[in-house]
Amino acid sequence: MTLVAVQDLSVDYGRLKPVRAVRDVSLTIAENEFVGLVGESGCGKSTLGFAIARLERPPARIVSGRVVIDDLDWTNTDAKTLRPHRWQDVSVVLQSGMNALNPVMTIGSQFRDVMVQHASVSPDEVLQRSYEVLDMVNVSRQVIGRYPHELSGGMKQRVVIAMSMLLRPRLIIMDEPTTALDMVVQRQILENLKRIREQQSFSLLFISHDLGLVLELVDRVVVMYAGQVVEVQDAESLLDSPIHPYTRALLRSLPDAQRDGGTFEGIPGTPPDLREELRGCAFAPRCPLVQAKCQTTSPPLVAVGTAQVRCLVTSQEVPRGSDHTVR
Amino acid sequence: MDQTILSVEGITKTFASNRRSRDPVIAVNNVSFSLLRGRVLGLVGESGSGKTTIGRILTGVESPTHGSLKWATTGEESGQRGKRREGRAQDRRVQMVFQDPYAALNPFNSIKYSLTRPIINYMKMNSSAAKTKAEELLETVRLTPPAMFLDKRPHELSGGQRQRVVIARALAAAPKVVVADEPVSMLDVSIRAEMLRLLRDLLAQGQMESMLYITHDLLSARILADQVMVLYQGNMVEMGQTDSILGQPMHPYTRLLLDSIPNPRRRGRPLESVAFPQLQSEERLTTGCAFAPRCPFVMDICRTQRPEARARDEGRLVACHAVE
Repeated sequence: MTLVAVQDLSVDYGRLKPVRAVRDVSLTIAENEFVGLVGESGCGKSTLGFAIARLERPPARIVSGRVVIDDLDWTNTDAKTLRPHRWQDVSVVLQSGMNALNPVMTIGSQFRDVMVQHASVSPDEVLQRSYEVLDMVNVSRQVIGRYPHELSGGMKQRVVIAMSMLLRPRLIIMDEPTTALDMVVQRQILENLKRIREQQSFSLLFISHDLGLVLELVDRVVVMYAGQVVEVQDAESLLDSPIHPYTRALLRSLPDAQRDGGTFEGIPGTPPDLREELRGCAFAPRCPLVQAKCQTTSPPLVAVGTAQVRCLVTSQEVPRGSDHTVR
Repeated sequence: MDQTILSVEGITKTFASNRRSRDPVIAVNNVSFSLLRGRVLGLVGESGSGKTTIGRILTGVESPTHGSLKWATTGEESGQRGKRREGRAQDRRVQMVFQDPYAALNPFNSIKYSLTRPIINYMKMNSSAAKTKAEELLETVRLTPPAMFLDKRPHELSGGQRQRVVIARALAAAPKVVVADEPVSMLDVSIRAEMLRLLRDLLAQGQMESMLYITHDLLSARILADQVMVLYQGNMVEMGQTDSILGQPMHPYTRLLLDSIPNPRRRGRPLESVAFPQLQSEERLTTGCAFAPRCPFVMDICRTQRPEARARDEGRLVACHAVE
C-alpha cells in the first residue's frame, strides 16, 4: 500500500536565474517501508525532503509536480489545512534537530505542547506517551523535567526523535539525523530505530550522505545526483549489484571494516552547475563509463529488473541475476 | 629505527570546575606518546575524549597542567605555562588543519591574503616573494592553476577546495608537525579519501616531519595513520599499529567503536557483539576505570583500581583489567 507518492516534483531556488535543485523527481514510499535518500551535498536530497513535508521556504519553491500523502495532495493544500496533519501524519527530524528544542522549556512541556495541539488528551495520557517514546529511544524518563542544555547532543537528538514519534505519525522524514553526532551515538540511534520498528509501524524517509549507514537501516535506496533520481533499488540487491556508475562509485568510496588495505576511493570531479539546463547525462563529466551519446542524450529513468536506473550505458548491461525481467 | 620528532610526556590537563560539579574536569589524564619522523599517529575517541585538547596542547594554544612536550632534536621543552616567548616558535613548528573549512577561513579575505599572512609573519619574506610561495603552496595541495585561486574568496570555493587552502596555510609556516583535527568530517564522503591521501602524500614529500591525526572515525585512520591511540574520557585505553588495532581490537571500548561503524552487511539485524549499554552513562568515576560504567565486562576491581597501560604483543598497549 503506497503511503507517499511524489510525482514529477521540481523545486527551484530563486526566480531570475533559478537553481533547479530538484528535477522531476518521482518516488513512492509504501506503508511501513524505510526508504533511504542518498547523494552528495548539493544533490537536492534535503530540498526534496523539505518539499515533501511542504516545509520549503523562499527562495525555494515548488515549480511543478505533486506530493500525495495518504490520499491528500500536500502540494495543493494551504498551510492552515495541513497543520493538523503535521506531527500527526508526518513528522520531521533535522540534522540540527537538537537545536530545534526550546531552551527555556523542559522536555516534558515541549512534548505536552505537541500532544495537546493535535489531540484531546489528558495529562496522564501525555505523560504515559512521553514515557513510552523516551523508552523507545533509550533515554531516561527523568529528562521529562530537564532543560535541553542539561542534555548531551546525542541525548537531545534522541529526544527529538522521540518527540517525532509522539503522535504515531505514518511518515517520519529524517534529514541527516546522526551526522553531527559521534560514531557510538550514531550506532545507538541506528539500533533504536531498528528496535522501534519492531514496536510501532511507520514509514521512514532517511536522508543521508552516508550510503553505508543507509544500507544498514533501510529497505529501499533512492540515489540522487544533480537534482535527479539516478537509481532506485532494494538495499539488499543494491549492495551486491549497484547499476548506475555513480552508485557504484559511492559504494567504492565506502570504507569497509572487513576489507584489508583501506582502498576506498573518491569520486573525482564536481557536480554540474544547477543553474544551467542539463545537456546529456549530468554525471557524464565524472563517469568512467562515459560514451559519446551520454554527452547529448538525457537518459530517462528506466526499469532494470526491479530497480530503476537513469543511465544509457549500464541500463543496457546484461542483467546478472536470472530473476531480472524487464518490466 | 624510527626517529622521534616530538615526545609528549605524561600530559594532564584539568579545567576548573563549573557550578554543578565541584571537582575539576580532567580532560586529559597522563597521556604520553611520540610523534615519529614520516609517521602519522591517529588519536581516536568520542567527543569529550580529550583528543582535541591534546591537539591544542601540541599547538601551544593550551598549556598542560602537568607533563611536557619535548622536541627530540634540540631537547628543549615547550608548551609549559609561563614560557610565552617560546610560544611563537611553537606556533611555527606545530600547525593545525581545522575541522570546518567553512569557518577556518576569513570570508572577507582573499585566498592570497590568507596564505601570505603566515609566510610574511613566520618566514619574513617580502610580499612578492610571499606571493610566489603562496602559488607554490597551492600547487602542492593540487589547486591548479594557482593563479585561478589566489584572488578568490572562500565562498567561491567548494568545501574540498577550501580544506586544501587550509592545508596550504598550515604548510606555509614550514611546520615540523601538523595537527589535523577531524580534517574530513565536514566533507562529502566522495572526497574524504582523496583528502586523506593528500595529507599522506604531503608527509611523504617531507612537507612536514610528522603528523597527529585526530578523528572519531577508526576506519579513516586506516588510510592515514600508522599508529592509533584510542582515548576514553582523557585516558589512553589502547594504542598500537593501526592494522593490528582494527584487525584485533583488545579494549572493550575499541571494540565498541569498531562495532559502531555502519556496516551494510549487517542490514536490519540489531547489534549483539558488544553488550550495548541501555542508557548511555553520564557517570564519571573518580576511581577505577573510566569506561567501567559502560563496560559489558566490568568486574569489581574495575571500579576501584585504575587499570595501568600494559604492553602486549607487537608493541600494543592496553589499559584494561579484563584483557589478559
